Amino acid sequence: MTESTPKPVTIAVPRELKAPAWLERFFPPLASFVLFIAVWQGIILAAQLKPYVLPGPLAVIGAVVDNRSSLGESALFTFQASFVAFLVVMVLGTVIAFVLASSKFIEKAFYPYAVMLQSTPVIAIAPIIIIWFGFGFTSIVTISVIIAIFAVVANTTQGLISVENNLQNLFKLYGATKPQTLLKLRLPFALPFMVTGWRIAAAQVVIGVIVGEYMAGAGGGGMGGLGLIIAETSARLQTAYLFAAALCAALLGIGFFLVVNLFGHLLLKNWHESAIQFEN
Amino acid sequence: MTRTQAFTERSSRSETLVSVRGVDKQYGNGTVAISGIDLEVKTGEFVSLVGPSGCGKSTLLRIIAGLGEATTGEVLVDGAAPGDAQTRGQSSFVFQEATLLPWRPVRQNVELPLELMNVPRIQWAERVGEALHMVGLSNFAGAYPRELSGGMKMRVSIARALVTKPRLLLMDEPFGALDEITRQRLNDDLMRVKEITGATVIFVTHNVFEAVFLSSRIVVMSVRPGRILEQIAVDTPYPRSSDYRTSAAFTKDAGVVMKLLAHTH
Ligand SMILES: Nc1ncnc2c1ncn2[C@@H]1O[C@H](COP(=O)(O)OP(=O)(O)OP(=O)(O)O)[C@@H](O)[C@H]1O
Ligand SMILES: [Mg+2]
Repeated sequence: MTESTPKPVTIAVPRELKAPAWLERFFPPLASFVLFIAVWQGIILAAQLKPYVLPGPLAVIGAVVDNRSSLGESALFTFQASFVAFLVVMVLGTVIAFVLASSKFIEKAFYPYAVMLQSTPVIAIAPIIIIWFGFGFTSIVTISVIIAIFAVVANTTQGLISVENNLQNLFKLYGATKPQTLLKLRLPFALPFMVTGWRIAAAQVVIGVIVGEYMAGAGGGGMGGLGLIIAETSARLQTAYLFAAALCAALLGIGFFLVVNLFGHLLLKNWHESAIQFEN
Repeated sequence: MTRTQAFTERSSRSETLVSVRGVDKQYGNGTVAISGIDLEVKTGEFVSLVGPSGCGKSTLLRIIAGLGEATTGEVLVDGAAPGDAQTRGQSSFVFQEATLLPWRPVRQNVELPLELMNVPRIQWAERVGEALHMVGLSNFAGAYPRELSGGMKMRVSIARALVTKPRLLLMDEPFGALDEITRQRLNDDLMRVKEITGATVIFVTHNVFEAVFLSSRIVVMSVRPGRILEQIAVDTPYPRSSDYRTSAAFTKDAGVVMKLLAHTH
């Protein structure tokens, strides 16, 4: 590229007229957050609720601080399990999607079972998995994978089979080989679909791990993850601690989703219209 | 067909680029799209196919491109079956939509056929430059399709079709989605491209004026199953300038085609 880019022209806007961009962006969610906390505390005061029914925001923060080391260890475990489950979901889900999309027959033969597996409640499958793999990491990851893999399979398959007819004709016209068509047409065409699948899976994988830990978590020292803390504290009515664990789980889930979201965005940047804000 | 006939026809194939004989096409669902099509196109001709919607124009074009198979009959392009490995790249296809790859900038979109046909990489830059120059888009090589107007996208699509230096250019309503002004401008450009490249063109359109302006011959088809009703020679010599659009000869030929089309319904 030799042509020089023209210098952007900056237009001076009087300071006091324009709020800083970060304020405009963060003020609304911040305001609703403060309101939420206030209503929460207000309900407790007004209804005279017992702490084991609904602890106040301060009590929850207190529980986070008091249990920070065990919460930290558990969150790390949950993160590791989520990470492993996510990798398995990405690789296995993509491979399955490619197999499904490779022929109409295979798709018709197997897709209904994928839907069936997706519709079966984990509660029904989890005991079998625990019989096979015992309590702990393997079962937790397996449960999470079963919950999250469908999003990747479904979206990737959809992307691979919805390539525009005439684009395929174009490749056929010039005698493109199967690998050429896959790499230069089907894969890039499917990418936005795939990223959508990853985003959904990123959120579901953390949920899946928490559910898995709840049912198949075992061992002390954080080796049962946040899900096990949730299971134990609810049994003991340690409600503030329970809320603290749930808060950590939520933050972990959001963080995981945001990272995958950012990764997807970078991948699609300058590539696909879906990633670019439409300019009128 | 007797042997002597077959022999004389094969020996004259330097003249005939496309030969369609007794072609029927029945789709898997039972629809008979075209029936008994006989069509000869000579090197350097510009043939337009016009006819009511659904009469099988796209079907016929796809068969000539080797993208679809005839149910019965025979199609030869330069003496070989279309889609043959040895004749690959001799035909290019321009679809109604620009069908560009949105993740590739213009240059790489135009490069695609060279890439797929394993043309040595050192030739790419020059070939792509030529093709883009012909459609007047030299300055947009780095732009992405989403940054281009509908007409510009179509130009890229045409450049992509030209980059392989095809002998036969198949165009399926390439300008159907464009406004009249853009369409006329692209018609003028196509005229120029045809003069420079000497390509033979088979062109599908619904627009009678476009057909008369561009074609040396207009083939009028009937409703489904599509048959050839009539073929009209347009005698005005090339190159045709935009003044031709307001000439008496133009108006007369357009009238003839329109009358024929009115009878197809
Ligand atoms: N893949 C297909 N399977 C079944 N029927 C088809 C298929 N493609 C086209 N047809 C049918 O064949 C007939 C001819 O279609 P074709 O697209 O060739 O018409 P056309 O002349 O190009 O129409 P238009 O002017 O609207 O583009 C139509 O009735 C159409 O429904
Ligand atoms: Mg058509």
